[in-house]
Amino acid sequence: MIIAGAANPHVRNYYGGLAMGNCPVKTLAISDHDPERLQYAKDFFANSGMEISFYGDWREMYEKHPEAESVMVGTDNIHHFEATREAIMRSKHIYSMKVISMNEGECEELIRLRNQKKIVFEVELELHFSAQYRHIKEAVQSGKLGEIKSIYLTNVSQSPCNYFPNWGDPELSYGKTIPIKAGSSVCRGGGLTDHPHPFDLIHWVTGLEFKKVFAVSSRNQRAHLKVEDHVAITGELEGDVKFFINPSYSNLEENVAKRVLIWPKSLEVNLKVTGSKGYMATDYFDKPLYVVGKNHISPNRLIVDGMGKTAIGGCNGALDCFAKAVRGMRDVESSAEDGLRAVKVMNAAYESIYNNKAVYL
Amino acid sequence: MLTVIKKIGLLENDPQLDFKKRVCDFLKLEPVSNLEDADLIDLSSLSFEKNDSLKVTEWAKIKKILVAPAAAAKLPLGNIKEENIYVSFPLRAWALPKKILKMKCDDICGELTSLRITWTRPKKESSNEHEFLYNTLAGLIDIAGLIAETPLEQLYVEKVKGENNLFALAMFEGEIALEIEANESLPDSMEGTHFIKANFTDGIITNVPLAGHFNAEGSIYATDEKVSRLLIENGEWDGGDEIQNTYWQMLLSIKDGSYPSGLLDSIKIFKAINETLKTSMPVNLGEQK
Repeated sequence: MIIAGAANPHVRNYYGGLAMGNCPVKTLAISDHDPERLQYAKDFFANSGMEISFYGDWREMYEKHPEAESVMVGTDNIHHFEATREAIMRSKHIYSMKVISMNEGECEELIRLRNQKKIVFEVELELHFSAQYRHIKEAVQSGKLGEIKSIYLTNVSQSPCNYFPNWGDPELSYGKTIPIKAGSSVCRGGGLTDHPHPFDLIHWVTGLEFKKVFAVSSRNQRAHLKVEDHVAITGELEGDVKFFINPSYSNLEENVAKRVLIWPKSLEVNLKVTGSKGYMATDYFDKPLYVVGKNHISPNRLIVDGMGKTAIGGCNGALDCFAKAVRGMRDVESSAEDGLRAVKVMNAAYESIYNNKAVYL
Repeated sequence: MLTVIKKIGLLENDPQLDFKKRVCDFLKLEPVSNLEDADLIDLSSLSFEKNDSLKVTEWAKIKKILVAPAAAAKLPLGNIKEENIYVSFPLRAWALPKKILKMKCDDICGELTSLRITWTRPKKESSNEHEFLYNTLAGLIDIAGLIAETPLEQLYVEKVKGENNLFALAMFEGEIALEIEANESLPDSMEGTHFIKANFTDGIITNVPLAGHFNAEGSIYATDEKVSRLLIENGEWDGGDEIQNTYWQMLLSIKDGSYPSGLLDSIKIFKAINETLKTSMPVNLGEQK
């Protein structure tokens, strides 16, 4: 595999597993036009004993590594289409950070090319790999909860924009500069663009398509942000099932130099499903650790910190799944179609906010 | 201005009559059934769906009255003394919004940007649909307005047909958003929850659990009969058993040189275990002072 960009902060999450070398994916090269991010990658892999080449441009990397079977596309969203299309044209399998593109036409074009070239295309929608959501999906689809009446999902996080400024650039994130509302200085490309999970997760759990979307966006909590940090959405799925989604950056960041995921819990992905026979609810959790410490980075108060994993080899399950799909051992878990489906609902939400009306899909 | 109220007029057919009598007793107020004797008449159980309108309007001309929000909305303006009307929004007296409002006024967290309210109840405690919409939902919107301190500008509701289960979005002046999850159709085995999360420019005030539904990690599954709390040991497919995985990690640590060689404290620990088991006494291993 070659890695085209680490503009998406999730790309770094894979470095550990890849550097340990016991992942079924071998890293050949990494490119990034950002010197700081590229240096981070060089330093990270310096002692891995792996021979990895580094490039400032993904085009050059593609040229120099015809032997690569696959590409992890982690550029800024605005460059996803170009980097992905070029890789597909070279018959590389694609492991794409989400979103594929906020431009639905570009997503459709990439799906068409994927079909033409018969390559594997997985989109990183990693909540498919959290057991608690899979458990709810199985309960819903087995009929254990009866007829589904409503589904509620908050995907609320901190804003990554303080630590990854590219994430707060409307052009880089959304692909173009569009005000969130007429006359607003805040543009599309924030929490909603960053969080396709809830839209995908609701479809994945229920198997139902979105029919109607109404959304609102409050004034930003962070006055300096150029992209939206709050969006709330409600509407209807097939079968008259009501849904609610909040994909905001409403959990504030600690005022510390290096990004740490604390406050007091950095991420909630709270899913609640109400059915005629029962109710299920779960949140995102990952071995929490509760700490009060005078020398903690956020001293003398209760913090919900992460314990980390005692994993076998540090390889991400999603990447393992991708590798198996490339070898023909299974289908991808989260496909380009899943990615496009989420983008369509997200764009409907943006349209609803802009035009102040419900949007039918 | 202090309102002198000594006698409360209660309707004989008020569904909460017993409760209200107990409240009067506690507050040293005299409940009266002859409404003409009352200082304040509690008409909040009237929904105005039948012929209540005229009756309420007549009372409002001569007495102070407490009415439900839906009833208040139907009173003929101009034909009544508005200072005689109290609209029944008991959630205004809820400690949580009062505290949030106080902290807002004290500028603890900067300026308010959005509110999320969660209101859930099991089916057995569910009210009728009219009360759910025009008392509960209306009351939740009212307290949001109380906290926002700006006028309501927009409201949108998605309601499950035939059930007290809805999502609502609203905007208050100043681009303050309100999100409401109101669900009174939880299984009967569950307890209700009442949360507010208030997001500000420089902070958050909330009673929402840090994790999940009951502030506990894991999932819950509830039917009318029982609630199960399902703890999932491994959040990842490739996680395996956490303790089993320590063996892998130990070998990796030995390989990369970060695992210490030597006997460590194995002898000491071994002897201590044997000694305490043998003597049934504590084993003191530290240096004697």
